[in-house]
Amino acid sequence: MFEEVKAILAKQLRRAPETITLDSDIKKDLGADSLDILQLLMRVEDDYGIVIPDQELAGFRTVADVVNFLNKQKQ
Amino acid sequence: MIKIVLDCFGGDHSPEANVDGAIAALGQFDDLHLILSGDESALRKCLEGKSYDPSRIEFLHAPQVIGCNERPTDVIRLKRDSSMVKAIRLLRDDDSVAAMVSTGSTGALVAGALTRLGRLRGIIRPAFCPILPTMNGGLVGICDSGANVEVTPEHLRQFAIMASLYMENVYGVSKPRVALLNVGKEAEKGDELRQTAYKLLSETSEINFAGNMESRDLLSGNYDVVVADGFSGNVLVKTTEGTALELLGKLKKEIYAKFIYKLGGALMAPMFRSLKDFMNYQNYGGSVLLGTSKVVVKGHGSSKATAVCKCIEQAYRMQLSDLGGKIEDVICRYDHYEL
Repeated sequence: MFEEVKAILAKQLRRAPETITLDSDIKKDLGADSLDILQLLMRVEDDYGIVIPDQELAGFRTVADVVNFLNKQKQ
Repeated sequence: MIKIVLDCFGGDHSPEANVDGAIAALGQFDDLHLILSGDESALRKCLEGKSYDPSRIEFLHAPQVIGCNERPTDVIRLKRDSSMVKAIRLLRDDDSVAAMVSTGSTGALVAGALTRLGRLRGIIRPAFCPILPTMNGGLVGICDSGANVEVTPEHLRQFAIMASLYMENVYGVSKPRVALLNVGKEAEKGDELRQTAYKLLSETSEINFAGNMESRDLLSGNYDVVVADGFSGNVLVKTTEGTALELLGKLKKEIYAKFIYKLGGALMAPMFRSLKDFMNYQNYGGSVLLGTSKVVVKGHGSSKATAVCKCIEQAYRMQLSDLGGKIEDVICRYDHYEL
């Protein structure tokens, strides 16, 4: 799952994939702004056929937060 | 070949007007290829008996329709089989598709485009830019007119650069005169946002900054681009359009009030037709979303075939002129981003 999220982030934020780790802070370390994060989450919703609840949307800070959420959805 | 996806549902005259507009646009540009998004059987029915090259039309079957009264942020996530969402996703995922045109819900289109398409490199916030005709026969672009309610001076500077390049590359305006919407012409007028933006725009060599503009001068022909926050820009455009339509209505009512006026009105009929054409938004296409990674054009909800065709023409010309590439080039050069 991490590899998939990393690939989406790398393409969207135009960053080298190796610079993205599970601990990366999406805003501070990867330079994303609020619109980038929404775009990432919409991409995740489209690709995985899920709807992320509004209350969860504001809670994603690190790459691990997104990966853990998706893993839970998968289970 | 330029491939454009057309959202055929959601407008007041959809899908007939969209389909007729698509056929008209195909007649204008030999290398145009269209993908019609919406209920395929309904679209095929609209095409029955009409003359067009079937090899230049594809279908993207989408059985759902987004209504204008639905909450944009919800429907854009939940109605995944709608003509609009499927068109946006195709635009995002298919590199061969260059642009999208829609006459559906403005809110849903903005939400969908901003959250799914991504932005041109260096762009902080994409912005809407409709055009209006001016008194000297030209056009004026108003950027932003609704995508961003809260802005910073830096946002306004980017709107000025994007709209200036749009007017230059799509409408052939040389060195577009850019004005900042304000409550007075003097540099010190307005709130802190407007005062700081004035200074920033004055220092931006990529635009031809002409100073502050009061709303009453919008159609004067003295400006080619007006920069505003999305709230003020939206009020400006709608007030101008509404006032013009109300005045026309009032004029008609007065003429029909007395027989002698009717006689005079009959003599002036050609002039009234010309005035009506001048003020008819159907002749000017739609509002473009500047700054997204791909071209998006929003037609008026009540667009008829002529307006849909104009919107497709706008999208075609934006792509043909590589407007996105030119915006990225200037923005990144100015902001010292790495290309």
